[in-house]
Amino acid sequence: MPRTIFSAGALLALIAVYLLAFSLGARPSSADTATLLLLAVSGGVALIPAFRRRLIADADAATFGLIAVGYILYQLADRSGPAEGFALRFPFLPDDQFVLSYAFRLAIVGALIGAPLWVKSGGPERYMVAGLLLLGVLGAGSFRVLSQHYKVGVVDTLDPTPMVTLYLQIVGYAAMALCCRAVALHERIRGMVFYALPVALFALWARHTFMPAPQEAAE
Amino acid sequence: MKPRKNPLPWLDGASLVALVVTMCSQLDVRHLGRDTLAEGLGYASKTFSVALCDVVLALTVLLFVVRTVQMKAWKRLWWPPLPCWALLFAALIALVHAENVHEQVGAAIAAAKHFGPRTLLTKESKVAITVMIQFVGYFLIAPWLFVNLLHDRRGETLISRRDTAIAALFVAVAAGILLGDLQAFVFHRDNEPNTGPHAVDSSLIVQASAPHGFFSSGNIYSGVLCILLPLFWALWGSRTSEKFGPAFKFGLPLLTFGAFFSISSVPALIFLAIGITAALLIPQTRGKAPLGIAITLACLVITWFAAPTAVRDARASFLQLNSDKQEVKKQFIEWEVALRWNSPRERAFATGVAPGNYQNNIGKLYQYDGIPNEEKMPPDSNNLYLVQGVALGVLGLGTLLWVVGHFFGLARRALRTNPGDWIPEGVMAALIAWFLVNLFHAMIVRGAGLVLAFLFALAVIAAQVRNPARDAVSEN
Repeated sequence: MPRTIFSAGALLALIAVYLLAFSLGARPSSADTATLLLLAVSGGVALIPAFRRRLIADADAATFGLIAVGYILYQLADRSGPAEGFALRFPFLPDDQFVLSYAFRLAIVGALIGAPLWVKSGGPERYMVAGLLLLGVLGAGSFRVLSQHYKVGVVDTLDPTPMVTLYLQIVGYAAMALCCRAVALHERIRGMVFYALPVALFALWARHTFMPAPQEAAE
Repeated sequence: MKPRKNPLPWLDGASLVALVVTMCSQLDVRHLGRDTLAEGLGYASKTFSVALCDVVLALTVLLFVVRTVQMKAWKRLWWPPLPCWALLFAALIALVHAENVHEQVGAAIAAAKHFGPRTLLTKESKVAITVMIQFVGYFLIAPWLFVNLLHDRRGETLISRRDTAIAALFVAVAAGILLGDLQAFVFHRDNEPNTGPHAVDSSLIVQASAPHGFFSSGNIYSGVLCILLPLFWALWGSRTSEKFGPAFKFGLPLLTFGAFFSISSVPALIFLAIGITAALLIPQTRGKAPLGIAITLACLVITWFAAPTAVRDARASFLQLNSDKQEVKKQFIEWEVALRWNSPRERAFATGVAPGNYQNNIGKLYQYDGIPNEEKMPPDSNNLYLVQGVALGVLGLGTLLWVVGHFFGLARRALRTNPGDWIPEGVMAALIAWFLVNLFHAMIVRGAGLVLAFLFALAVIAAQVRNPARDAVSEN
């Protein structure tokens, strides 16, 4: 029973991210809609019995599939705002604030709820997190070296702003990967998700292709 | 009358040996496209090189498929695991999700006023498709081919070609090191004046003079040795090495000395020492470890001071943080620049700018702020993880690490099952060295990519062996 609660909680967070991706604020490009269609078709193929056994029944395969979908949904949902609100501020960037998007907060909540499931499991999400941590370490190291040789500032040689967005995205995408793992680890919930996935992705593709956000709303 | 020996299994063995030997090189058999610079037109055009190892791979695959169809043995084959397929899928998502590819294709369709195959083949999409074909080759076809040829279960009995392949690899590496040592003495810095508006950074001249064996650059040569020598040191440290006699026992340290003598890359030098140490310390019985580590450190220290001028200059050039034109040279500055790919937030962090399109996009990332971009990058000096992160996004980067981690884990489990087996020890040490050297030299390139596939295959066959005495049948 507790496993179901943790997995269902993570699933609710994922569904909320999906709904944000559905909103007008997502403003997908043609590349985004093409990818949604590719994922919807791939999800349909995964339901063919010959593939279902290998892909959906296997927790690692299902985790990877969910992470691939989750990352695309997160990227769309991250644009849905808010434009202002709960934000991080740093003394070295006094004129900037970094708003924590709804998608970011949902990913964190989903990962925390699902923690009892993913913390002891080992699957592809470990390598997603490892890759993100590697980027973080490389970024910290290179910034430290360069800051000793070039002037740091928003209008100077070395702008620190991308480092903040880098670490925010590292945390956000890591949380999404862990959230997806928590969902994929529960066999029944995993099955339900993968049966619903092609339809959900196709609906998202159709929504943004045939009912795109008006230009005024985008601006 | 003696029954005639079937030559076809021998052909399989010969093709495997040819592939193993040619993967230790980047010799090109043909260039496709116009070499406009050589024609005196004053500008460079992109050309596509067909490497000898690519040709041998294609021929080996063809022979393997024909033989498998002949033997009706498809069901007995090993097939690549999930992470390898996942990497291809991640690369496909990266291609479809790339904004710049969509823009280019859209512009091509608008210009042509119709949709067709030619409108899909733009500059960036062509590079992406080429890289995806490369990925299929290195992460699907090559491991599949290597595993099924190294432990050939298509016939009535298992044919193991593992020792033959390892011996061929050793000979190929030895030949490369001997050539590298020869080049280390023969090469010298260009004595022509290097001034004026077309002056090239001196570090590039130094790199061009560095020994490179059968590879196109000293950095790839150094990287390949860094990855492969730990594999042989795992054999040297094991009891199995005794059957190869004093030739191997003394030959490998001499060869390693030769390698340290001609390796121009400082990171490759250090990570080679780490890889050899790992190969000797991973096993449970470490009788020869102190001697092996002492030999390695001695080689490192002696060749640091006694290496030829070309090699010392290349190493000194790396250790210098600045260059002729910049306070921090491009090789190091580009790490920070590449990470700008994450900005703005809604751009390309998840899935990148399309496979193989790092070079097409890195220039734009320099324009973000005032980081200088005054010089060219030395050849093969990129950080693989940043290159693949920018190209495939964090999804592709994580999946690449999953592939390597999967085979590392396979080798580790094989070691637990057969503690005395040197193959998983060597593979683990080699993959540790591979992971480290790719921080400074991207090694998923022509030739070196097959080396990684070979290591994957060794991990698989080590895991397949449950009872070494029972399973080893015949060499062919």
